[in-house]
Order: sequence, then structure tokens, then C-alpha cells
Amino acid sequence: MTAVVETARPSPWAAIDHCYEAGWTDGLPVVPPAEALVDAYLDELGWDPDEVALTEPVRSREITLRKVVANGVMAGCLPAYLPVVRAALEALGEPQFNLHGPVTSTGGATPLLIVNGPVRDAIGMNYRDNLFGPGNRANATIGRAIRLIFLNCLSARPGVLDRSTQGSFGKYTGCFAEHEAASPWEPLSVARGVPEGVSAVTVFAAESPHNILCHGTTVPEQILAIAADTMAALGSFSPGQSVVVLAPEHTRFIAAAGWSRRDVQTFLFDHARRRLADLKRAGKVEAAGAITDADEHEWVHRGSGPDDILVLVGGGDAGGHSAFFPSWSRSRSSEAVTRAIT
Amino acid sequence: MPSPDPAAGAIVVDGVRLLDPTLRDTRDRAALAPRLGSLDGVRFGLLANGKTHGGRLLDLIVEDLSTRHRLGPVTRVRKAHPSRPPTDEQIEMLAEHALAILSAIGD
Repeated sequence: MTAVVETARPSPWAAIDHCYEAGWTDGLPVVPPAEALVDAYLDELGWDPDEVALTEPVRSREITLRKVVANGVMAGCLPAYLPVVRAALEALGEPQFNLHGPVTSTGGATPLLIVNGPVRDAIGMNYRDNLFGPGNRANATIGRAIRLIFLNCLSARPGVLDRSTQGSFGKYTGCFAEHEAASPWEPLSVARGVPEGVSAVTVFAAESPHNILCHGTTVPEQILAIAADTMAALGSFSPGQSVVVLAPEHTRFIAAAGWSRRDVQTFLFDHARRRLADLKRAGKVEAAGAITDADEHEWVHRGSGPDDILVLVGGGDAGGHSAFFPSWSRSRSSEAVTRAIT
Repeated sequence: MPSPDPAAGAIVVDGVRLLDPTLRDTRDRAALAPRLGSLDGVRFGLLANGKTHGGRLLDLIVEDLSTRHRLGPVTRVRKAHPSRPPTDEQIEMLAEHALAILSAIGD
């Protein structure tokens, strides 16, 4: 027999308030994780509530599907969104992602979720106008579910285990899909080993995106030179990976010139670089020592090679605005992981 | 007022049964080691977290402690990465050479 509590306010407001008081939210109101709703989601998905979706590697916390669904409900997810959340969690648990780092770091990283394949349209994801912004339930709530799981299951509370100096707005949510129809290349997930036609999610520990604004040229070398210059900015310069989301307009110009994805990656890697001497002058090299003549001629590239630059297409049909997402961390601390969604 | 329903792992608020979405550590917490009565002669291990100024911060602490205590030999270890635990070899080195270990974040 469970107690029923009378309050002056009608449901569901008391339950929403309780979620605030219990510290379960990200600051925005949540859908209260009503047991009946969570059970209905689990039934619809055919999931075993006690199955572990993710074991946090450092503190061995086991996040069960019941907790995943409870947080997904709170985020506002529909049941059909949760396989994306589950696949993302599996990817986040891979050793090369180094989950503990992005969750706790002073750097303020957020796990970016990039979705490919049929699931994009099946659940109505946005990959066109304002794909990084508000207005789409699937994009918004899938990313939010991951953040709520971090907050509630990994104690990633600001000032507790999340020690971000400034954080980022992407910590509320960070999920979008690739505009595959606007791309002349295979989907990002296929380039990363997932079979064509299979839905997938790629997770990437990202800093805030940088705009790559270019309206004045249709020449691929010029467009990509601006992108490379953005990627070489000292503030986020590191040996880490990069995500470059090309706007359809930029993509059309690049595709018309016959460039392959590999051509783009190679160009960006070759040009996203700084002289070692400049890195030393800027204080970006620990225990740098004196600047030598050789340092003036030694180039340091962003990333380890062209494969470290994940290139995909997304955004509205018009507008010369692409985006660069730098990797988290001053070193090569986390690598992107792609998982099929089943 | 919410009413806990621990038997069911739920909380009832205004007639709505809510599931607790949180998770806490399930591992047993290690007991604290006995406190040191004195720092005189104590062999210290310094475990720097691998950030820019971690080692420097620890050296400053040892320097300060040395003005008030006759410290024993100091063993310095720097993690390869702030987000990863020390290696087994590093832990073994500290266990072998240090009675007390200082760790700190220095960024």
C-alpha cells in the first residue's frame, strides 16, 4: 500500500517540483519519471529493466536500462528515441572514449551525438536548418537524456564531479543527424565501418563549435582554408580529433569540383597547423625551453592525420556557415566511437 | 510532501509514483588508513595528476612542510594523463617507497 500525499497543487506540478527538490534536473523542468510511464516504455521496447547499458569504467557504476528509461522519460524522449540513447551509451563506454575524462574535466566537453541511417527520418530528427539549435524533439531530448544520465547516474554535478571551468551550452543537449541526401559522400557512419543502411550513432567529446563563415567564394581551396584556419586557432589547438560539419552550400561547391571526402580531410589536415615556434611563444607547450631556429620551420598539425578529421554534412540549404567542433582536452584524450543502433 | 516507498524503489508525489533516476556508488568504500602521528622521517610519495602545474604544486607543499618537519625521502610520480588512473607500476612504486602519499590537481 503506497501513501498518497495531498498537496495544494494538482499533479503534475508537485511531481515536477519534487524532481527539482530532489536534484534530478538539469535546471529545466523534466517530465516526472512516473513508474507507470517508465514501465510502459520498457514494455514497448521489450527491454529487460535490469540489463546493464553502461558500466562506468572508473567507478564501476552500472547503469541499468530502468535508469536509462527513467532519465529518458525525464528528458522528454519518446520510446522510439531510446535505442539511440542506448547505442550512444554503449559507445561512450568504449575505452577509447575515456568517459571519465569528458564527464569530469575542467575543459567543459560535451558528448556530441551524430546520428546516421534510417532512424533519422523514422524518429523525425533534424539535419537541416538550425540542426544544432532548438525546435526538434528527437535532437533535443536524446542529447538531454545523456546529460541527465550523467547528472543522475554518474554524479556529474557542477562543482562535484563535473569540474568544468565554464562548461558549455552543449551540456544541456548535443545531438543532431547528418544530412545524408545533401552529401556527395557516403554517410559518416559508413565511412567509419557501419554497413550502408544501418542506423548508427557516433559519439565525440567536443568543445563548443566554431563557426566557419564563408560567403565570398565558391573555390574549395578557399572555403577549406578558412575551415583549416579555424581549426588551427590557438585556443583549441591540440593533437586531438576534429568534427567538421559542412553546410550544404559549401558542400555543393566542394562536390562540384570533384573533391572526395578524403581530399577534404587531407587538405584540412595539411593546412590546420601551427609552427612549433608559435606554439612555444603562445605558451602552449609545456616545459618548452628556448625557441630554436628549427622551431620556426617545424609544423605541428591538428590531429595525427587526415583520418582524425570527421567530415560530414548538415544544415539548411542556404548559407555559408559550416562548423568545426574541437576535441576535448589539451592532449589526445578521447577518440570518437561509432555504434550501430539496434 | 513526497512519501518514500523504499520497498518499491519509488517515491509517491501527489499520487504519482516516481522512480528514482539516480545511481550511487555500489563499491565498498576503502577504510581510511591510520593517521600519522608525526611527519618526521616520513617517506612521502607525490602523485601528480599529469596537468600542467600538478608537480609544481606538490613540490611547493613539500617545500612548506619541510620548514616544519624533517621529512624522509620523496618519491615523485606523474600520471600520464589526468583522466586515467596511475599505472600498476606507479602504484607499486609508491607502495614500496612511500608511507604517505600526496596527490593534487594543478592546472
